[in-house]
Amino acid sequence: MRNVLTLVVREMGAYFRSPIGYSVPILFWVLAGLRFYLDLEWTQGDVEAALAQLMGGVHFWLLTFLIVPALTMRLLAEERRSGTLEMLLTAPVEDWEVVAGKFLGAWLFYAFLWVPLPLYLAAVIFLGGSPDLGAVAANFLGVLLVGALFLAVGLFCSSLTSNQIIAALMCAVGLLVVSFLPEVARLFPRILWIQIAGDQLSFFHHFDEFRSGVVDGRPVVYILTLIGLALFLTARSLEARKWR
Amino acid sequence: MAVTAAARLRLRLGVAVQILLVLALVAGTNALVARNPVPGLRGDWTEDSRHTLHPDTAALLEGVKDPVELVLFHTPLAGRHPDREAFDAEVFVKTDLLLREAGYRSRRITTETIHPATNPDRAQAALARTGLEDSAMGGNFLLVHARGRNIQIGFSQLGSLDPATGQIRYHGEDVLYKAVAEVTRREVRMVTFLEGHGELDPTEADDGLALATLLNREAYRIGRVDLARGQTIPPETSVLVVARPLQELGREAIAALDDYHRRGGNLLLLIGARTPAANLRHYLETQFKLALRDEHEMLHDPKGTLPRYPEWIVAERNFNADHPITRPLARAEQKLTVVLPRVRPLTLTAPGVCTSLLASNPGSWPDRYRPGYYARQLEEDEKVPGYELQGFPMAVAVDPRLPSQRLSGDQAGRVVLFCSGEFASSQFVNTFPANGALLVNAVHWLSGKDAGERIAPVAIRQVRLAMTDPDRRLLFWAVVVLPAAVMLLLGVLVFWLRRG
Repeated sequence: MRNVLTLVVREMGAYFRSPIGYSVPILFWVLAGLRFYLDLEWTQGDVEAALAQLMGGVHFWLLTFLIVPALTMRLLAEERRSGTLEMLLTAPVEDWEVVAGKFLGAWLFYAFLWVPLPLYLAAVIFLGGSPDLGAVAANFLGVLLVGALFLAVGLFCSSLTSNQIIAALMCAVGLLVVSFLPEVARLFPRILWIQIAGDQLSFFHHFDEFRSGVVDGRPVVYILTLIGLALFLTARSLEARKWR
Repeated sequence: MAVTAAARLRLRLGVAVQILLVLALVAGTNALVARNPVPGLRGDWTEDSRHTLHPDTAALLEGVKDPVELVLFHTPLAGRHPDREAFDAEVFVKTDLLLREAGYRSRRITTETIHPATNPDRAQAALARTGLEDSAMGGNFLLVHARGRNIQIGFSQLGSLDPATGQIRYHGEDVLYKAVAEVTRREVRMVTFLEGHGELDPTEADDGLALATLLNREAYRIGRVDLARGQTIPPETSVLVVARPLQELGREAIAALDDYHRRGGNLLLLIGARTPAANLRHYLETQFKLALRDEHEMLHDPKGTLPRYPEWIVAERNFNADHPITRPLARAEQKLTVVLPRVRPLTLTAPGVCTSLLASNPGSWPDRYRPGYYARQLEEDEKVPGYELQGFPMAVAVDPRLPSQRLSGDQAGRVVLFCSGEFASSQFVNTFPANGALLVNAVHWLSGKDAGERIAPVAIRQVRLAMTDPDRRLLFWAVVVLPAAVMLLLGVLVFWLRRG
């Protein structure tokens, strides 16, 4: 566990020693803040709608699809390109510790992107609004879970190549595949259980519930197991280097 | 250390097996969790618990014995009015969440949301599975299906626009509760049509089929009885419909109706200008203090001063908002038009014995058309006081549970009388949806299905900011500029320190 923590700190340090650690939050905060501000304007002060857009609107997904590859492309690909991955893997750490450290580091940085959220809520409360904090908490939990899933997929893609650009492209394609996997169910329109399974596989479907303030154990288990699967595949991908 | 080819193969096989095992574990875990919802693993974190089902709804759903399918059909951007689109979109989101809550309550409940425009095959499959006609494809509705019965609920039944606030009042849980209770009932409610006097035929496409189809959609069974042939009214009849007879009902038939009614039977009478009604008039006058008038020619328009359809009477706003039959029309988010052809005017001769449901709208016509209602100059004693302002009643309801309406005895059933017969025909029901809605509401009320609102909507706290210009500036600086500026300064500081 100590190794994991050390790797997490190393990862966070790496983010904040590089321009990406500043440019990504600045870009994200300007766009998210602007969207939140404009949504409050357009909806005549409907705080609930503005928060739902902030954490689940079209721009949220666009930003997530852009930012996750940017955050994950260098995680293992860069280590592999620069040769530091060999050092890391020959150090007294397990493969899974490397994967967990990288993943948690990226996830903490992703969570850091949401640091202004309390500021948004404080501003709204200061101006006389009273946002439903329970619903916001549920929505935020969904944001963190979906972010974690995307990052795990990105980390796996990063483990497959030494080229960051290819890693980012693979990540984007991987996210699209994960997002639209349930569409496969359309091939079997007359088989009810496949249709329902397709709905259950769609995290857009589940995310709607988080967004509306409902936390269901099923999507939580679904997302956590997918994260586990992606991390497991990443660990196996690293291990494969040893016997290739 | 070199890895031999055999060892490499073993390693690869081992990894492949591991991956397969993990995949199976992931799939198995999710299948197990999806099929066995654990109470307590689902929580409504909203402060007003807006997604939490009422205990009655939860108990009903948890106790269903038969498989129940809840299918939500939604076709967005179907070229409707933007307001209607926004209304439908909001109702869709709320109903989708409601169905998920419902599906969580029992393994016997299957829920589906289908967008026919983007997934027509799935929509077709659902229609075929539930036995619904293909014409339902384009509509936005919730289908409740169980025991081979369907109830089709339009979006306008799931929500209504509150004119005071402009917000949508969502009563989907109440509607869902009643629909699930209805389709899972052991016995089907039966609507029996009287025949033998030239009544509307519920099997004929251009006659009464549209009404029968509507009632089938609401899980009613259709029966028929010919009293003239010595048949008796089936005891399981919930509502007996007398739909536009073209021949006089004999005294025996009237006596049978009266007996049925006195024993608790419910009557739906559609008596327009084409029905010879000497016996009925006497019956209605003595039982319900209703004067069925003969001078229907007063509604004709030989001078052609009424627009297009001289014999049609239109009701648009004069719905009784206090009665369960007409309340949904009075509160609908859009203006609904009920069109009644060949109307026979009614007069309520004793106040309080009958409740007027809707009245004609003479005031809705431009002034120049008003005289067109009268084909001849009415005598003073023929004029209905206030007619020019209020219109005249075109439908009335009698509820023996009200003391003033208990003329036929304590055990008597309910009665609804419409003073038009053809308005229930396929031509009018298919052309004017409000006609069908009105008829179905009447049958619901008569059969006791619509017992008022059982599950009240959750009062949702509206959170709106009323911002002044300084507030806007403050908000802009707080949420757009401040976080990014702080991060920018931090970045510059770090790079400056690292350079040193």
